[in-house]
Amino acid sequence: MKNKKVIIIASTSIIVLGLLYFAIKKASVKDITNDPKLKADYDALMKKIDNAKK
Amino acid sequence: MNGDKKLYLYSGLAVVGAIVAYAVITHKKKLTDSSSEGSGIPDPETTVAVSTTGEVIDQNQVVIPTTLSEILKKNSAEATVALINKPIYTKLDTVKVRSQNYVNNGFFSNVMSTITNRKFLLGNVIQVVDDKGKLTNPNGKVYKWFRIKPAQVTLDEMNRNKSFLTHTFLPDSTGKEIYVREDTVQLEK
Repeated sequence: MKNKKVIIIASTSIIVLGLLYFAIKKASVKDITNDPKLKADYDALMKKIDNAKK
Repeated sequence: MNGDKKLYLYSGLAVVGAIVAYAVITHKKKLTDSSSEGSGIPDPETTVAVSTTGEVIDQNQVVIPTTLSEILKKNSAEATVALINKPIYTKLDTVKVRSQNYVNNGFFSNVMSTITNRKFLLGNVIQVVDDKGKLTNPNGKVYKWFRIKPAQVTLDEMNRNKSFLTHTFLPDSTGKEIYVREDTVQLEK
């Protein structure tokens, strides 16, 4: 009975902490859709490429 | 409720809470489209500038006419005193007219209509206010918005250009007062 409780608490903790870990990890990734500087660099680069094609 | 049932309940709630937290934390907030007050697409023949939010915008939109830029150096209250009742004109080929003093291009957008003529009369200035979202211009200063009493020609142009959604759901939104941003207007025709 006591073992069952420990297993439930342990597995719940692992699920909760795991989800929070991956959420924070995913949220901290920067790309052109959420970082103004990266977006600016990307847009400037695309413009240079477009101009070079002309 | 016995101890086992409580434990299942709390475990379930904890897992559901974690899933909700995951969804909230990973939800990506889109960048504000600061250039959307103009055409949104820089003219390839002209030089471009990058705003503080990272948008590449047409140099024509960045350059503020001298007379206006002198006034915009003042705070909003002083700028209001200098510009109140003065006529104001569009500076770009496409200018979005909004119902509030900030850029909101979401589903419930605050764009009332667009003016698709350069040097077109917008109306008379009622007030100069700061951007509600504190969005800054390429010089790092908070954008100023002009609260304007639209002229009849402006209303006609707005009614002609307003979108299907605006036409259907906000038929009376055009008319009382409008907002345009500092980088889309000029004082001289």
